[in-house]
Amino acid sequence: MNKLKKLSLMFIILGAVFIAAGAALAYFRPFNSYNDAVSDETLYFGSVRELIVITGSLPITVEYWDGDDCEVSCIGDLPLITDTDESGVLRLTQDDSFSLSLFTARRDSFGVTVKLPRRTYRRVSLTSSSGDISAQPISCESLEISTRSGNISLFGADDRAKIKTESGNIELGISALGGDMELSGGSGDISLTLSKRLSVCMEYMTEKGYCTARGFAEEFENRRGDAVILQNGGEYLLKITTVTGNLTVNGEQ
Amino acid sequence: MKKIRYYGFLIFGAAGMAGLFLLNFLYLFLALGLFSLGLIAVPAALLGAAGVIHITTDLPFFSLMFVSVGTLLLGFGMCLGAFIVCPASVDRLRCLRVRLSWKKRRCCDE
Repeated sequence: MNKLKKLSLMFIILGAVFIAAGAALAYFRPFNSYNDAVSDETLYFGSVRELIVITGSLPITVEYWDGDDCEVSCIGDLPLITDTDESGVLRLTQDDSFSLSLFTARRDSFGVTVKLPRRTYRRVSLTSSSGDISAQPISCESLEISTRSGNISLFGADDRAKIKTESGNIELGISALGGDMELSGGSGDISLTLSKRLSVCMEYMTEKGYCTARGFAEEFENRRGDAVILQNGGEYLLKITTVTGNLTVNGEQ
Repeated sequence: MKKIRYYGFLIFGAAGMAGLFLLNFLYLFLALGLFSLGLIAVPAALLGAAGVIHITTDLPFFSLMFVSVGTLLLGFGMCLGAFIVCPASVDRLRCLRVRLSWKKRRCCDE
């Protein structure tokens, strides 16, 4: 038994020494230090009409800028995979689910930032697994945003936006409605700001969530279960579904 | 007083044993996990370096090899250690079973 104990201890110590040596080698390597192992790139694309971004854990930010080209900056473990075609589709993919990294620096600044020239786009589709997505009001015919656990933050949205998350929180400001709109959440909370001018009938359907409404004719605080809010006659339907997520609606002052 | 002390020891002893077994199980789980991870990582790192398969990592080759071999050795050492840790726990379980037996309790009650 004593022999076994010694042998086991010897292997454990040897294993720990090897792992430490490997980690030290990665940390102190003379060229291409770990700081440079982070991919930091800025790319430019002209005549973009359609934008599709798919990431794993990287956050996505989309905003307008005054340049003529579409600027894409990405900081992450791996470079972005980009794909463009003649019809103006720009597809950006970043899959970090199989990357193995030690001592990753600048983890906080990781993300994909897309700056779009001010024009109307055919389609903008943003998908991430655990990365947060935030977007400025983008003028486009179809806007699709979906995450698994990442949070979504979007202001100035209208009925063309399709927003879906499984467990992330949604922060949304709706400025215009030209038709019915649907929002789908899971266990994350939804915070919604509705413009005063909107003629909307908001239906909140939940299994275990609570609803808080402020700034409307009928106000309530933490009311359990389904709720309906009517504003300016309720011309368009805004349907919100969650499983356990709570909803907070604020009427714009 | 004797009875209270007896039951006190019994309850705390049982809770301690349950904790010990949980630790034991975690140890075995970790040992087997590390060993199998090392078994996969070492050939994968070698095949990756040879260009047979593609592996995505920002670690240099030697660093990756050291970490993989280290994981294999650590897992192997822990698996060997399991032959010492687990029988000791089984022995303790046997002791606990004797303690919890009705005969012993009756003895104490009397």
